[in-house]
Amino acid sequence: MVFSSLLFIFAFLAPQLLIYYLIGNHKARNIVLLVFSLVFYAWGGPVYLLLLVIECLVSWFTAREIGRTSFSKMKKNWLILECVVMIGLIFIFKYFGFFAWNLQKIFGWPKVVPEIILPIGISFYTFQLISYVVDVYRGEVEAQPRFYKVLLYASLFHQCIAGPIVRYKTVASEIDERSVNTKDIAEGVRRFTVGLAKKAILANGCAAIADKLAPMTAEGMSSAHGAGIWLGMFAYMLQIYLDFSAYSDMAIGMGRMVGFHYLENFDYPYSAGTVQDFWRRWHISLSTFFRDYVYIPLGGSRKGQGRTFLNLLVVWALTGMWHGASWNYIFWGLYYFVFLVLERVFLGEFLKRSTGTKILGHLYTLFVVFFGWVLFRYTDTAVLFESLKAMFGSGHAFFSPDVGSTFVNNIFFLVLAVVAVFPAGKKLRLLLRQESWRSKRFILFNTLNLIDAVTPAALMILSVLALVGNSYNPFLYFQF
Amino acid sequence: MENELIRQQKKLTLFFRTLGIMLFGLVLAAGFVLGCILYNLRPEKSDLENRELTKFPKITADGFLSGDYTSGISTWYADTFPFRENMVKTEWSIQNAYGFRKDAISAVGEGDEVPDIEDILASMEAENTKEAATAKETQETFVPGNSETPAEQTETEQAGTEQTETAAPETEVVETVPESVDGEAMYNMNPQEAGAVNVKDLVGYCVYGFNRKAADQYAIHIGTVANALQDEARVFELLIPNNSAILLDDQTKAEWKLLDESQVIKYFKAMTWQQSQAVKYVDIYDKLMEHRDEYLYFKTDHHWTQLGAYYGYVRFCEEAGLTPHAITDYKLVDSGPFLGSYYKTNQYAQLAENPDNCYGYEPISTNEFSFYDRDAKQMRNGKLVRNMSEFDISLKYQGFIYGDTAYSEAHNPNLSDGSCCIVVKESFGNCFAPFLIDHYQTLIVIDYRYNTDSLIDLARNYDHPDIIFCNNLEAISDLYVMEQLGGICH
Repeated sequence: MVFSSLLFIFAFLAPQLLIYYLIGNHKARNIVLLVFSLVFYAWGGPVYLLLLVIECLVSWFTAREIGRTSFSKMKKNWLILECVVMIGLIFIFKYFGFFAWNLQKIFGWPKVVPEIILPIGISFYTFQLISYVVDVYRGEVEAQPRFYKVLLYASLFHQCIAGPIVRYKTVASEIDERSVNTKDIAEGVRRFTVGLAKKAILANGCAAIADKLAPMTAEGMSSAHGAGIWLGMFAYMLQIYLDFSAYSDMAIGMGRMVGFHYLENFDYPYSAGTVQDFWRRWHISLSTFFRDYVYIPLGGSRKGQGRTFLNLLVVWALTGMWHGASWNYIFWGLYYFVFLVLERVFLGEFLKRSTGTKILGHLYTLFVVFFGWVLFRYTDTAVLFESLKAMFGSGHAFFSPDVGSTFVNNIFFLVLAVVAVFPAGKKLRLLLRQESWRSKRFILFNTLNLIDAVTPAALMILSVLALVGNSYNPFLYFQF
Repeated sequence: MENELIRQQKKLTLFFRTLGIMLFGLVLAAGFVLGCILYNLRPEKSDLENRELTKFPKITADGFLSGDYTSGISTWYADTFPFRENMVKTEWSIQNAYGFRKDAISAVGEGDEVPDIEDILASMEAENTKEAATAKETQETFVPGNSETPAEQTETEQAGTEQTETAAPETEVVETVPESVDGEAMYNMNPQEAGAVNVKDLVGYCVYGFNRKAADQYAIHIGTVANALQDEARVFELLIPNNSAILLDDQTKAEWKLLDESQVIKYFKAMTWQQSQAVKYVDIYDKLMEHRDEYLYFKTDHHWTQLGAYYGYVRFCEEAGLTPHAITDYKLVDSGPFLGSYYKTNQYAQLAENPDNCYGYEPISTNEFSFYDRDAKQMRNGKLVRNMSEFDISLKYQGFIYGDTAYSEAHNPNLSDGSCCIVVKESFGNCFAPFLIDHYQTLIVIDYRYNTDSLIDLARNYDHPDIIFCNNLEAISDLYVMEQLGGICH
C-alpha cells in the first residue's frame, strides 16, 4: 500500500485515526497502531511480514540480552549476532542475486541466478533495528523489555517501508508515553497534506515528463533526443526530491498526528552550496546512520588523511549499495566520494571564499547532483552511456518538436515544481507569520491563519483528483 | 494590553487550527463514506476512457500470499471510486493549466521504414496492362444492384463540395429520437486507442508508425480470401490514410517526421498483389487529397467523417463499376457537437475549444439493419445512420451502424437480384458501409475484432458477393489486430 493511494487515505488512514482518537488508553492506542501497521505491511504480500517479525524478534532479544549482561564481551557477542543476522538477511534478500549474477558473468557459475523478490522496506527497517541494538550496546538507550513495542517501532506504518530511518532513541519515550494536542494534529495534518500534494501532483507530473523524454530502456533510448534527455533528467531531478521528501513529509505528518516527533529527513538539498552540504540536507537519516554507525567507528577523520579517505570510500560505496543491488548505484556512491574528497582537499574552502565563489558553489553542486541522478536513473549501463552520448549530441539528433512542445505545455508546472524544491515559500510563510505577530494587524494575522486552515483540505482535494486519474504512482524509494 | 493581545492571538490561532483539522477531517470522512460505504455508487464502465473498470479481484491462495490479491483491491478501489469520471475530467482541466497548450507535439513519426518495392510495382504494372482488357469485360458483365439513376461523376463531387462548404447546420436537421439498445447507451465503442496524437491549430493529428510485419500479415490474409474465392467473389482492398497524411502541409509532415503514407499504401498494394492478383485495389489517397479542404476527418477524433467516407465510396464505385449517388441525394443527419478519441485520450483543452460536429448521410433505399452485438447472443434491430444529438458528446461516432458491432446485416427492399456486399472492417468502416446498401440487395458488415466466423464460408452463402476490406492504416499496424483478421480469413 502506498500513502498516495485512495485506499490508504480513505480506507486505512481515516479509520485508523478515528479509532485512535476514540480510544483514550495509551496501551490500546499502541495496539491499534501496531495492528494497522501489520496490516499495512502485509498488504504488499503477507509472506514478508514473517521476515519483519523475525528481524524484530532477533533485535528485541539481542538488545534485551545486551541490557541484561554486565560482561562487555557478552554484550559484544550479542551485538555481533545481531549484525550478522541483520546484514545476512539483507544480503540474502537484496544482494544475493546481484552477487550471483556477477559471479556468473566472471566465472560462469552459478548456472542459474536466483530471483529473490526484495521485501518492501527491508533496507529501512533493518537499519532501524541495527541502530536500536547498537544504541543499546552503547548505553545510549535502554533495551525495550516488551517485544510488541520493538515490533511497533520497526513496523510503524508511517516510516516502515520508505523511511525516514527513525532511531529508536528518537521515539523511545514516545512509544512508552506520548500525548497529542491541537497544535500537533494541525501541524501533522498540514505536513501530511503538503507531502501528499508534493507526491500526487508534482512528483507524478515530473515523472510523466521524465519517463517520456528520458526513457530507461534501450528501445526507448533509440528514439530519444539530446534536448529531451536534458529536460527529462531535469524533471527526474525534481521528481526524485519531491517524491522522496513527500514520503518523509507524510510520515512526519502522520506521526505528529498521533504524537510522534520524527526528525527531519530533508532540508532543501538543492539549495546546498557544496556536495558535502547537499548530503547534510539529503536523506539526513541515512547520512547520519552511516556517519554514526560506520564512519565514526572506523575512525572518522581522526586517523589521518589517508585513513579518512579510506573511511569515506567505505561509507560511499555502502551508501551506493544501500540504494540498490546494481553497479550504477555503487558508481553513484563512488561518484560522490570523488567530489567529497575534492572538497576536503581544496574545493570546499575555495567555494566558501566570496559571494562569487558561493554562487559558483551552488551551480557546481546542482551540476554534480544532476549528473549523479543520471547515474542513478539508469540501471542498464549501456542505456546510461547512450543517454550521456545523446546529451552531448553524439549519435542522436539533439532537438525534436515533441521536446519543445512538452516544455511549453508544462512550463508553469515546471516553474511550480522548481519553486517547491527551494525554501522560498517556507521563508515567505515564516516572514509573514512573524510580521503578523509583530505588527499586531489582525487582518494579516487572520488571513494567514485562514489560509493555513483551508490549505490542507484544499491540497487533499487536489491530490485526490490527481490520484484518481493518474496510474503512475509508485514511490521511487520503495525499491530500497 | 500586550498580554490581552497575545491571549487573543492565541485564541484565534487555536480556532483556526481547529477549523483546519475539522476541514481535513470532513474531506477524510467524505472520502471514507464514498469509498467504503456507498458501494452502489461505484461505476463499472468509463465513458471517458472507453473501457470497463477494474473488477474486484478473486481470492486465491497464491494471489493472497504474493500480494496480487491486495494489490488488485487497491487498483479496484481507485479505479471504481464514486464520481471518478467527474474527478478525472476536473483533473484534466487542471492539467491544462500546466503550460501553454496551443499546439501539442507528443511524438514524432517512428516505426519501420517502407521497403523498396520498385521491382514489384514494375511487375504489377506489366501484369495490369496485360489484364486490363479482361478486367474491363468482367466489370461489365457483373455489376450488382446498379439500378439507380446514374449521376454524372463530376456533378457528384461538386455537389459534395458544396454540401460541406455551405455548412450543414443550414441544411434540414433530421430530428430522430435517439435510440438505444435495451435502454442502454451504446458501448460498442472502438477499442483502438488513439495512439500518439499531435495538435496543431486546434486540430488533432495521428502520428502514424508503419509496421512492416503487420502490413505483410494484412496482405497475406486478403490474399488468402481472394485466392480461395477466385471465381466466387470479387475482393477489394480499400486503405484509409490517416488525417495527418491528407490534411497536413509538407513542412509539418517533415517536422513531425511523418512517413509518406502514399508510399505505405503502395507497399500494401504491392504486397497484396504478390499474394493474389485477383484483389482489386481501391486507391482513395488522391481522391481525398483532391478534397482535402473539405471536412473529411474529425478534428478531435481519429476517424474520418462520413463525408470522407463518401469519397471513399465514390472511388469504390469507380472500381466496382457502380454509379455512386450524389451527396445531395442523402438526407443529412446532424448529431451535433462531438469530442472524440483525440480529446478523450489526451484531454487537450485546445481540442475542446474547437469541437467537431458529427454529420451523417442516411441511406436512400433503407436505413434499417440488424446486428449481433459483441456478445453475439441475439440479433437486434437498428438504424444504419442515426441521430445521436441527445447522446453524450463523446459518443457521436456510434451513430454509424451502432459502433463496432460484430456482425451487421441490411437488406435493400428495392433490389431482388441476389447481389451481396461484405464489408470487412474496423471502426473506420462504420461510416463507409451505409453508402453501399443502395447498390446491393444484402449488405453484411463484419468487424473482425469481435467475430471469428469464417469469411470464406460466409461468402459462399451468396452468389458472387463483393468483399471489401476497408481499414485505416493506423488501425492495421498492430500485430494482434492482424491476428484477429487472420482468425476470419479461412
